[in-house]
Amino acid sequence: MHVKESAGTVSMTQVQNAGSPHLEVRNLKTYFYTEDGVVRAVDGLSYGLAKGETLGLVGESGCGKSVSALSVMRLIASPGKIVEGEILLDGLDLLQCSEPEMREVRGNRISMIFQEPMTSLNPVFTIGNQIMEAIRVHQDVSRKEARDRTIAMIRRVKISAAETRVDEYPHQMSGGMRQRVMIAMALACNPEVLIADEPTTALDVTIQAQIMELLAELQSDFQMSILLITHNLGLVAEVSDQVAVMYASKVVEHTSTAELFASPLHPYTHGLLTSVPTLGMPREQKLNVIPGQVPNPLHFPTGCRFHPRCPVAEQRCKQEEPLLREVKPGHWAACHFIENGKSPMKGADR
Amino acid sequence: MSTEASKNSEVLLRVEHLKNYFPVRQGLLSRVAAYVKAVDDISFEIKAGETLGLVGESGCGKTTVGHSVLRLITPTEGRVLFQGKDLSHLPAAELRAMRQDMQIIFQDPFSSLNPRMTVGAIIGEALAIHGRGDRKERAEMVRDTLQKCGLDPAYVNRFPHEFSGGQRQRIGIARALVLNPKFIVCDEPVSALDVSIQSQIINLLVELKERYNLAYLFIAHDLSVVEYISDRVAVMYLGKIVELADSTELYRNPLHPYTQALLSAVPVPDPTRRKQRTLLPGDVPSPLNPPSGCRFHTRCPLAIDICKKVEPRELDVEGHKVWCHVVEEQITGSRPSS
Amino acid sequence: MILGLFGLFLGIAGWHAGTLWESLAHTVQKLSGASVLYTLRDLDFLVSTLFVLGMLVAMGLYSGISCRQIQKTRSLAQLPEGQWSIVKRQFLKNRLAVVGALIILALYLVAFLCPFLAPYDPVEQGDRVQERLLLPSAEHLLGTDRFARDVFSRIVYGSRISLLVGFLAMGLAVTLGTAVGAVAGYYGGWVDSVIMRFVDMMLSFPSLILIITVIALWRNQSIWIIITLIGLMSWMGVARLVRGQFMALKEREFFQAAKALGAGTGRLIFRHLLPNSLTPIIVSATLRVGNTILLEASLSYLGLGVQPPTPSWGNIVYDTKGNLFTEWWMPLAAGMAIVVTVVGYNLLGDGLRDALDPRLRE
Repeated sequence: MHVKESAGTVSMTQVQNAGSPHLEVRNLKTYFYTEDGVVRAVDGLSYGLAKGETLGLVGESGCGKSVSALSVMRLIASPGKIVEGEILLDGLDLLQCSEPEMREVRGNRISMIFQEPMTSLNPVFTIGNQIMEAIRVHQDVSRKEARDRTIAMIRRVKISAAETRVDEYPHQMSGGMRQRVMIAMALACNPEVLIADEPTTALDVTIQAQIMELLAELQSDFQMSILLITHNLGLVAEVSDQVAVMYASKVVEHTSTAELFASPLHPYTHGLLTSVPTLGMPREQKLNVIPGQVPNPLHFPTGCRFHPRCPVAEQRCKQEEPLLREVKPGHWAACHFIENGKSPMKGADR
Repeated sequence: MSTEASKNSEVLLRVEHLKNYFPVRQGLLSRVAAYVKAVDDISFEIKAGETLGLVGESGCGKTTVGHSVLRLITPTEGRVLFQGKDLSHLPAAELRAMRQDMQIIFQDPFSSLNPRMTVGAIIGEALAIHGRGDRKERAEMVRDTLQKCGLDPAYVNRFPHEFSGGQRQRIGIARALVLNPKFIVCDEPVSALDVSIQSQIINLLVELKERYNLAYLFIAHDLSVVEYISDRVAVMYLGKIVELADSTELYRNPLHPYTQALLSAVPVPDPTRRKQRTLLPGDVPSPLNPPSGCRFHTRCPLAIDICKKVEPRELDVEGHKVWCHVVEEQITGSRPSS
Repeated sequence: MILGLFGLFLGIAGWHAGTLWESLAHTVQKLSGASVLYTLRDLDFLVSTLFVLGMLVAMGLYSGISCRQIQKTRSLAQLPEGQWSIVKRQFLKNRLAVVGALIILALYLVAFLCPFLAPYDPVEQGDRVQERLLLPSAEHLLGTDRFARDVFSRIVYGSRISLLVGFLAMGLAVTLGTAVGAVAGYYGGWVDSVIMRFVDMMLSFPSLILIITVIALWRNQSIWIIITLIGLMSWMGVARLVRGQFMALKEREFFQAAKALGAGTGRLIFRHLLPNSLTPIIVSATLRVGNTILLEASLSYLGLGVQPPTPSWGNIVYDTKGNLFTEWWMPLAAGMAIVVTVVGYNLLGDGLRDALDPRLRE
């Protein structure tokens, strides 16, 4: 396997200073060939996820964050196609794997939990059955042993009365419980990487808090890396170590969580952070507004894709696409006007 | 800010002991097997130009309250007085006339607009129903309202599917606004929108409120949005209000253990403020069979014996109302008798 | 686009009304015994010519409107695609649906232009001795039957009965079904319970047997009675569909919004519920036309439908079934005509469903 350096993109091996990442995505491009044209759902995405670390992938709907996760699992169905890039899991390029090899990876080394716990469980099987299946697909164990491990797993995700709950059907459980079952299923084979795609969006705040607490606990137990995909900035701030902000199928900013929230450099990140009301925010303060609409992935704007909505955009932004570059040690951003690690936005430092 | 002003102004909407029970039918003869007590005896009032936030988790009955207030659902019991008139017993014709003053904005910008009607027809419908102006004047009013809501008046001939979520929500707001109502129920108006679009809509709602002295019943599950927009906030749990107070007071000094837990569960987008959480155990019980006594006792970290048996009564501490035995004991110093 | 469709609809309805007029004239003539002012064939030619002229005028008007629309679009600079043009595009992409539409279109053309297409009068009997059961030839494309009538002409004219029955019976069923379903769905509660139990009851009758019984009791086998009976026996599906649509739409927020605006019952039903139920109604109506045509053919085949000498595909099969082993092409051609029509309607219905669906999903 040779590592190819595509022009115009930054390899995360160069930029990641903290050792080699466990999961690394390089210049990933996933396009959907629809009747209306080519939807560039993920367009040159790169990030690295270190062992035991949590990376938050933040963006609005349609920015490509979910498609990028499905690409990592190689679960892109027609008319979608991974056009270019590398996905390295501990040095193994998943895009070069055959489908049987990939099946070994899915659910075993990389697992995924989804937003909708209602639809991700099969309603006609008991939850025990479904977790057992996840175990027995990858490990050669007897039914008895698989069942014991299933019960242990259910206990692990803190569902009380595991011995009886194991024989219940999904519809007998609440949304929060189902998400716990999903987590039990995902972690059944002790994966190295867990991709959590909006895991709490469908849940209430108090349940969300329970689930996030559980995930944090399991992460340290299992020593796994988590890729947390969400639109909720609060969630990212609380649980992730690194944050990558996506806009229009690309990463526009990537740095440590503390750094990002203290000094967002990209105008989009800055806009996002100041446009959500936070608890205890004075009411006289007007919310910042990012004008306009999220662009249509069929027709992205030329140059910098954020330029039609950007308050500091100039002529150059319309023509020249900014590259994701290290603007400050450990802080990457894709904007022409970040100089000496200073944001082009006024009063960006919080 | 406007709290001071609104204290003196008239009460626009008064809800008294509102109850909404939905029968669960079973069997061949559809006998009523049980009732879902979606809303169970709640009271509040909203003054002209005031925003009352209504927060709670899914299934707590907040949307039902919003619909009952407008009598889109007829309440099982209780009274809804709008400008002194009891809506729950108003004849159809009078009710229709009242609707000019009270409107609603919905959560889902995709299902709230009739896909077969143009934007102009959607917004102008209210004018046609209430016979305001002639054709020309109506078209003028529609264009005017579109502009107020930050939309291009040239959009009148387009269909809803041509717009993005944020723009559709603006159309929904324009529809509610075109009759110049005094009161609008905002039912989760921003929760279906993208983060960068949410603030556009929130700012628009705040601006319209100030310009036209609108009163809102702002229903949402996002506590930070509710804090930002509301003058007063009511917290609901399983069909009951557990706490009601001025927005700043409630968020700074939450008394009810549920409010406290709710506030501590909200993730804050500031990594330097990672805080200690009060995690609530378990799930919200079913409103079909709510717990006895205080409905929160099954998940409450402070629950004492009496909570299981007796429903807590209203405790009013200088306008800060709370329904909790433990708080009552702490404040009044006396143990409530069962 | 809508205007064009509407025009087409009016045209079809008008033509069917014309047929009605024709048969009325016929009855009047027979009853009064008055001297024949004009023959039926003359009238037929008149109607067909009027139709052709009408079509030409409609096409001219439509293209004129389209041109003006295009100009308007240009001046408004890149107006986004309207919903109907999306549907049109989706529909045209589906080859089978286009085939179905073409079949139906061709059938209607045949039906309109019978007098020009059929070489002989369908009911006129030739020389019973010399021209009986002739083999297919250049003169008689499908030969002649035992009454020495030209089978090809009979099949061409038979298209009128099938299309007439399909269109009118379905029209009646859709109107009735929509009205009943709308009432049940809009009011709900006990009204709904009563109506839907009635629908269940109607559905549990074997419709063919019921129709046969009624016809047998009536002793009058006019085509209009058959159409009415078929219509009365096939509205239930539409009623269920419309009721379901209404129930679902009542939960949608735009309906709540309209209620909150103070909209009355009429406005709620006709502006909000009905237009949004139109798509499934159109689709199901199209899919059911095939069924009604089959039902009429079955009745005619049983000798209870359209009575000879009036040709209908069902009674042509009935008439010629004795010749199945010798003159097999006669029943086969009539049977094929039924199959092609039903398949055409089904393809059209499927295509419409697919084309109209994406817009509903949004």
